[in-house]
Amino acid sequence: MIEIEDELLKRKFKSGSKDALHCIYEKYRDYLLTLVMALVNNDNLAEDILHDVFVTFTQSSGKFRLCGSLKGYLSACAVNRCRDELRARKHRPLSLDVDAPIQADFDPPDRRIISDEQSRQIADAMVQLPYEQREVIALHLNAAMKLRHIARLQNVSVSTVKGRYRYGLQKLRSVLNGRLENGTR
Amino acid sequence: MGPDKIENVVKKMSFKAGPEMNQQIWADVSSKQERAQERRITMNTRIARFAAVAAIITIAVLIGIYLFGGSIGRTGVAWADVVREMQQIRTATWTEIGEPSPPKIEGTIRIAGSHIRQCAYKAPGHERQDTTQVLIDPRTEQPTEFKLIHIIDRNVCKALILNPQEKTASVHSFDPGFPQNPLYDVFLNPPENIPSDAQSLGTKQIDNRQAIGFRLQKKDDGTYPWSGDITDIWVDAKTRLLVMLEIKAADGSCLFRLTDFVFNEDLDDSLFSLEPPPGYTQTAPPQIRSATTREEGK
Repeated sequence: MIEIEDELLKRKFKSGSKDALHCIYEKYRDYLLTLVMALVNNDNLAEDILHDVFVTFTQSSGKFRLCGSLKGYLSACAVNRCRDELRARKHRPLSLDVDAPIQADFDPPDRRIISDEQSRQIADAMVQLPYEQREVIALHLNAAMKLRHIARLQNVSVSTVKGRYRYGLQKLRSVLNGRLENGTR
Repeated sequence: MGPDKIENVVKKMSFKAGPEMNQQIWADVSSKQERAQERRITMNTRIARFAAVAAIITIAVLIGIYLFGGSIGRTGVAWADVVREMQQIRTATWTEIGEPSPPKIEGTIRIAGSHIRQCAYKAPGHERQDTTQVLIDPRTEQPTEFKLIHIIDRNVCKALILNPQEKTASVHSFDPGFPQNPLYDVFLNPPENIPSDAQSLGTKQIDNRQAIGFRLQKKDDGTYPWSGDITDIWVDAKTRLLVMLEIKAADGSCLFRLTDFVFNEDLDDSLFSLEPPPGYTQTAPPQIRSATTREEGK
């Protein structure tokens, strides 16, 4: 049913329907935001990336020829945008290092991204993983993408992706357990 | 924390856009779509005005022929004759058939056959295109017909887009400097790049008319600006007006075919009216981009 709905949305979007674009935006906005936050754990950057993904998507409507799922397409766009941003920031002097954990002791009242404390903690822990491992975990668990699709996206073998997933989860577990222990002391 | 549990914890991670962020992004995204639509109008206009472009091609070819010796296929048809006839055009109607080439599948939707566009032109600067495209969902094999009507008035730089299925209408403005009707360009600004390698296709009967054909091929140096790699044009041997025009890919497959040309018949002004017909709901026209867009705010 979801697939059919997406196919109709794609078709209407391609013919220039604003309603279809709005439906797509509403449907995938928070999903993509969660994915991007899992990858960059930076509110401002996540907002910029989300914005860019939808703007690029919108501008592509005229030549839009999507054979796969809309969700997968948008996820791949978001991931590519995250990679670009992180790569650009690595080469940018005196920039915010998004690979470093960014932790907030409290939620400022004017926070533009809404989430619960647990989600913030997981994002803080995720960002301590190497980017490739983080990407595999986020795509597999948050975007429900199959490992073989992730392998194609990362241009590596499926076994490499499995390894990244396994090691990533181990490290994530130890980071979270460490925090729990620290928190209970 | 076990492996299953940590996977569930990650899966439950959730971030939502706050109202302010949501509003800001959507405002920007929707304004981008409106701009994209404006660009699409332009593109549609370009494609649908192939017949007008054909006039340019005709003249370009005939100029080339003039350089070869003054007539097409030794029939005695001189380029000046065609130019003179084209200058007299008050109205024109034609049919454009576009082949779905090369991809025939978009997503899981299959484009079934050609798109058909009924085009009309009325001097000065009035254009209309009624487009029909059939799509088929391969899983259900159910055909869906898409219809869209573009009415363009170049005198006021406005276009009306009608969706007969949804009964919606929207009026769009476009840049007055873009693009001039090629029919005018032909006569005011004769083409600089004259194809000197035009090939004669001889003569044949098209719709019971004796037509003279010529083929233009795209050059490596890009001096042939029309869409497609090959353009076959056919003009009436008697009237010197267009009979058929085919835009082809390099492999010879036809991308667009323009046929059924009728010139100088009376066309009702209502065909070119920018007023939405009764029963149509008018949707918002594109807004002028505000000063507080996200990009500018960065």
